[in-house]
Amino acid sequence: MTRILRTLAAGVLLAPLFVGSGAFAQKSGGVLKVYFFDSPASMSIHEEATIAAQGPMMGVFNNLVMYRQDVPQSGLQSIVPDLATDWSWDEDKTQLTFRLRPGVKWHDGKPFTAKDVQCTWDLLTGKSAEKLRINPRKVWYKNLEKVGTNGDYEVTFQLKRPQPAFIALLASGFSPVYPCHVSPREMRTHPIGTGPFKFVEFKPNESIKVTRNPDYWKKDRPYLDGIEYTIIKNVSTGVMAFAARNFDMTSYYFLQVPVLKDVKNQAPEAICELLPSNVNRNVMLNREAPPFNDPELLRAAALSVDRKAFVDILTAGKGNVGGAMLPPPEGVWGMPPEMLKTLPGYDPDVPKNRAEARKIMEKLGYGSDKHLAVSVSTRNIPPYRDPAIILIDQLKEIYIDGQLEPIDTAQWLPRLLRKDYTVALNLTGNGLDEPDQTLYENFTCGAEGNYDG
Amino acid sequence: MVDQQSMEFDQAKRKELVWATGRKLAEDAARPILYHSRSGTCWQPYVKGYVPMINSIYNGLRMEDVWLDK
Repeated sequence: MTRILRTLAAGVLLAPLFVGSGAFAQKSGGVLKVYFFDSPASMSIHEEATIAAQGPMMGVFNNLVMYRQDVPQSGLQSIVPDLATDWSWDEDKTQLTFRLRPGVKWHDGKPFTAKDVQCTWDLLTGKSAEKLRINPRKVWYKNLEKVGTNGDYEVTFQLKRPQPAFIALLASGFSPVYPCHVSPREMRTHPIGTGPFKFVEFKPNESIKVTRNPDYWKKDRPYLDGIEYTIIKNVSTGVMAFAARNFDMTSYYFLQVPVLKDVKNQAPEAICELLPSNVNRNVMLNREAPPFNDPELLRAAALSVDRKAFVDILTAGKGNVGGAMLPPPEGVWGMPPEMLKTLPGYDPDVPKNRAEARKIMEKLGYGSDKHLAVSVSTRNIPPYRDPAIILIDQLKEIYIDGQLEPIDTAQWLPRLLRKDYTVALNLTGNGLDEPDQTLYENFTCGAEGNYDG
Repeated sequence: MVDQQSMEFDQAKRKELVWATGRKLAEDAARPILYHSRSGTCWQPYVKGYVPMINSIYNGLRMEDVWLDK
């Protein structure tokens, strides 16, 4: 098929301008020390769903394409080449062809070829003999028919139907290319990539270390000699250590508003950014088992929520009420606020919503003398626990008594996948601001992230 | 509806479809979204070249452009 829309990626054109503007000042050397919030289950990005593994390992790998690292709002317009040098779509957006960068080596010295790309997506779509233990983003590729190779340096993703935003999924930090010659089991404990940093070690509950890849294909990168992540689960301890300059950075995207104020008080010279992160707090009600297999009970629980209270208490008013997609202006796809207010349960008149919820509960046989007791499960770290406690308080308003059940990080995802909960307070971190990720991963039948049905 | 938005080339039409899907999800009520948070990252002033992203936490941690001005 005739290939059109040959893309000269914007990054190829713009990168020299950007790099040239400040290149003279950059210094090489030094190890970046980061205090890190949690200990992941493994080092394999393709088997993990949280930043605990994905964050430290992103620099160990490359993607085919990636989002420009100097552009805060990622989107189709900021996708630039990585292991691919360029790409092209066919006319009906069902074939996406990448030309690959020659001369790239894996960290163990073996050459990177088109076969590695094919192996990675065969693994992700369950076509390979090797299997992933957990495959949280399998649904991203439900429209992928196959990946074909044309020699060592060209691959074509054949889609079942048109999907103009498919390339956005490939640009995510969750889409690294894995080597054919390293098993999924080995990737959990000693990942091999092509990226700017080589994996050194992971000591659970202690540290993660990566070191500069001297053979990185981008000749002037990275600047750092390495990155050391020290795992400190206690937020106050981590913040104090950062303020004492024992660390160069805090854990990425981890500090909640009150803690951020503490940091600024203790370390006024520090640079701090408070940003929407496309992570929403949500309540998962397990409708596959009693009592929430009753749609009326679901409706009552949804009506009990006072969203503004969450925003005011936990984010000092800086968070946003929103739906499935990140609200504007930072989010590209979120509903405008006026439209949002018309959704069920989003009416700002909370007393009215709760009065309706109590009526539903009373019809179901509950009341001030007969409460419904439920466990509210959540991951045992503050960003999860704090809203879970407020949720429990709000559920009391409609005769539901919640009991907090904190769960260790390593067990959290398996528990959700087994649907082993009644009410779960979860954080959904979207891999990118793109409906094809958010909607397929979290809300379609059989999707790994659709824990509630 | 999810497939329909995915195949839509026109971004304005796609947005309408995405919003309609959002309404359907809210009516379904199995997974109420409570709020979208903001979270913070701090670094010492000598850490240079780090640009946090504003619409996802997973895409900006390659760290190959980060350097220490010590």
